[in-house]
Amino acid sequence: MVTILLIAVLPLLFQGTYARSILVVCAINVLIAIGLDIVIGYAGQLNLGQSAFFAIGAYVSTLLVTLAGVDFWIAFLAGTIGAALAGAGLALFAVRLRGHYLAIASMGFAIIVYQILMNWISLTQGPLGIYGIPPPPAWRVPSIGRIDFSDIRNFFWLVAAVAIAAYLLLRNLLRSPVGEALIALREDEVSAASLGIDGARWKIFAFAVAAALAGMAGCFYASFVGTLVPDAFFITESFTVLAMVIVGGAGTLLGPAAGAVLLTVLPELLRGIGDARLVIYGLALTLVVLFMPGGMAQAARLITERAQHRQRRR
Amino acid sequence: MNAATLFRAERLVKRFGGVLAVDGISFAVPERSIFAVIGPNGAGKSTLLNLLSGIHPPDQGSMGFAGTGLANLPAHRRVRLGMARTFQKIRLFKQLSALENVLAGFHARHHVPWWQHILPGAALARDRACCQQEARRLLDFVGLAERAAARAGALAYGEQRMLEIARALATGPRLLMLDEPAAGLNAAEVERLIERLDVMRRDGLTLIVVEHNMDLVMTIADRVLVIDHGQYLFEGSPAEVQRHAGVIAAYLGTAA
Repeated sequence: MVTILLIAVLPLLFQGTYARSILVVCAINVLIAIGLDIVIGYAGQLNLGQSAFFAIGAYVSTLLVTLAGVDFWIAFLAGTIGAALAGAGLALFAVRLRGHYLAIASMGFAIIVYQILMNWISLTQGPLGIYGIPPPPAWRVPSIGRIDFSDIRNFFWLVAAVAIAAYLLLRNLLRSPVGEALIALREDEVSAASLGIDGARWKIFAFAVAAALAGMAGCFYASFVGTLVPDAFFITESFTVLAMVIVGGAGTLLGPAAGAVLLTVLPELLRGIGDARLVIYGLALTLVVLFMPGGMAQAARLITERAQHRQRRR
Repeated sequence: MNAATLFRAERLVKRFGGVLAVDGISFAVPERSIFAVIGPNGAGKSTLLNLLSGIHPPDQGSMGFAGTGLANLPAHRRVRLGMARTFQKIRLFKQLSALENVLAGFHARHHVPWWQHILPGAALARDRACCQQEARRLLDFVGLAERAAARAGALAYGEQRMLEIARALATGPRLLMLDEPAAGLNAAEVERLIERLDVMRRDGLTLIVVEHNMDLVMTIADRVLVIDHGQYLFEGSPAEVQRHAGVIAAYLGTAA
C-alpha cells in the first residue's frame, strides 16, 4: 500500500519532462522484466526472444491504430494477445530444446522478427519508422473530468497501475499450484513429469504469459514515444531485459522489477559517457553472476539478516 | 493369489543403439501385492522401470494398467491414472524444503477454478490447507515430520530416499514403483523401509520394487521376477527364487 502511494507521487516529485519520461520507461521495463522472470526465474528456461514480443505488441497495436483506425484499447488487447500467441508458438517448437539450444532458438526468433520489421517496408516502413503515433485517447471520468494521456503524469499513472496490477496477479499466480509446477519444472524436468506435471504445457504457458506482458509493454511504448523504428527492438534489448532479471534476482519477481528500475535509471544518469553505458549492463551482469547470483533480492535478504543478527546481539 | 491384476507388461523390448536393454519381458502384478524385480547390475532393471513409468517408450510390446492399455502414454499422463515412481539416483527438488517437495506431488489433484490462481479465493485456501495437512501426514508417515522445513538437499541420504517416497505418495497412486529404495540405507533404515512398505500394502497400495537388497526382497515381496541381460530368467515366490540354481549363478557367477 505504502509502495503504491510512493509510486503514485513519483511524477509529482520529478518535474522535468525528461525525468518523467524516464519514469514511464521504468514502468514499461518493469512489465517486460517481471514477464521474463516467469520463464527464466520460475520455469527455468533461457528465453532471449523478449525483444521480439515487445516488438510484436508495439507494431500490432500501432498498425491497427494508424492503418485501420482501431480504438487504442482494442489494439492494446490485440497487441497483447498477438504477442502471447507468438510466445506460445515459439514455445510449441522449442519445448524439446533446453539450455543453450533454447537460448539460440529464441534469439533466432528475435532476429527474424527484427528482419521482418526492417524489410517489410510496405507495412512497417522499415528503418524509416512510423511517426505520429497518437497517445491513448483521453478518458472522461465523471466528477474528475478529462484524463488526457498526452500529459506524461497521466501516462505514467496508467502504465504504473497496469504494471502494479500485473505484478500482484503474477505474484498470486506464482504462489499458487501453477507456481509450484513451474518451479518443479525448473528444478528437475524428469522428476516433475513423474509427479504428473506436463512440462511442454507449462513451458508454453510461461512463454505465453511472458510474451503477453512484453506485448502490453510494447503497446504502451509505441503510444508513449510516438515513433517506431526497428532498432528499438534489436536483439540487444533482449539482453538488457535479461540483465534486469539477473541483476534484480531471477525467481523473485520483485527483484526483476527493481532490476528494471535500476538498469533504466542508472544508464540515464550516466548518459554523459555515451555508448560506454552499455558496458554497465555487461559489467553489472558479470559482477552479479560472479559474486551475487541471487541478484539484488539476495543482497537485500543478506542485509536484513545481518541487521537482525546485529539487533539480537545487543 | 487370485487377486485381480493391476498392471500387466507383455513382451517389452527396448534397444539402446545395438544393446538390447530389455528383451521380451512379460509379467503381471496382482493388486495389493509387492512385486520385486531383481537381477545383477546392468540387467536392465532401471530401464524396465523407465518403460513402465513412461519415461522411455518401448520399441515393442504393450502395457496395461487397471484394465486400460497404456500404449505410448507419456509419464505425466500415467501419474493421473494412479502410477507413481521414485528414482534410483535420487531426483528431489534439492533447493526446496521437504514440505515443498511433497506439495509439488499434489499437482494432478488440485481442485481449484482457474481464475483463483490469480485471484485467490475460498476454494484455493481450502485446497491449500488440505494439501498442507496431507503433506504433513505423508512426511510423518515416512518419519520426516520434524524435517518438514529442511532443504531437501540438506537431508541425510536415507531421509532423501524416504522423502522421495512421500512425494510419490502425494500423487495419490494405486501403483507405486520404487527403483532401489534400499540403496545406500543402513540396516536400521532398511528395517524401517520394509515396515513402511508393509503398511502401504496393507493400506491397499500395489508396489513394484526394483532392488538389490536381498534381505528386503526375501522379507517382503509376494512375487519376484529375476532378469539378466534384459531377459527373463525366473519368476516365483521368494522361496522359489532362493532355490532356483540359475538365479544363484547370475548373482554369484557361474561357479554355482
